[in-house]
Amino acid sequence: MIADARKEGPAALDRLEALCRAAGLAEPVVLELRLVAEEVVTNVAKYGYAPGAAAAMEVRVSMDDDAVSLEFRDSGEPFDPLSQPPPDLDAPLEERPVGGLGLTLVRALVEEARYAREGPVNVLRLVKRRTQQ
Amino acid sequence: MALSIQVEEGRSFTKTMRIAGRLDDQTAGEMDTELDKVLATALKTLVFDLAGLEYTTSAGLRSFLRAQKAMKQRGGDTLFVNVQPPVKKVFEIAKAANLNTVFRSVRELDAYLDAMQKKAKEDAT
Repeated sequence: MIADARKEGPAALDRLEALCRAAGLAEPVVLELRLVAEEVVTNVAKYGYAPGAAAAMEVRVSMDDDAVSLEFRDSGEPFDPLSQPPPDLDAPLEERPVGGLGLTLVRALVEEARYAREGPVNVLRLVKRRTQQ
Repeated sequence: MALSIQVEEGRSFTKTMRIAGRLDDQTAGEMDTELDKVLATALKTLVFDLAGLEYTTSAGLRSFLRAQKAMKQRGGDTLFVNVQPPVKKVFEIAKAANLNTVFRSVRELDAYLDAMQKKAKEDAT
């Protein structure tokens, strides 16, 4: 449970990373899990709640033999990160948008991503295989 | 994890920024500050040596894109060397750098810069 992602996000991400490493995941997978979690947590901290309000959220981690599941829950504005239009990565440099890259990374680095608004809560579930292809 | 940035001057109008550690929302601001200082100088080629960069989020990618835009605006180049596999993967997903500007080693980069210098001299005469 993260009381305010703006203040406690980095510490929570450090814990997640340590947990994944302690579970024996390969280092590249550990860093990619941290990366997708960091992008989601940062997004909630920046845009999920009104300025000044505590950006409360929850990150749940579960693992089985094949995969690691991350579940992010927040009670901020309804926001489906998976329905956002992807940025045009092939635009010439001058016109390249600098936003939207975080969600692009999230989508590319996990095998499964699902979003649901459950009552007042945004729920994002991501599943990543334990081993890299 | 902290970020460390060293700026080196080598060839004329060329600066190398050695970025080590992690680039994220907390540290990308430090990089932008250093980058602005570097961009405030007369510069034709900006090299990022990423041998020590183990991790970058989209915040770091935004800084690298900003650098490339600024250099292109002044008709200069941004080159990358020693990009480590985890960072390279992220660069490739986000298409954060043109593959022609990414060099595997300092040796390969030096050969390219030598050729550019030679060409510039020839063009001048």
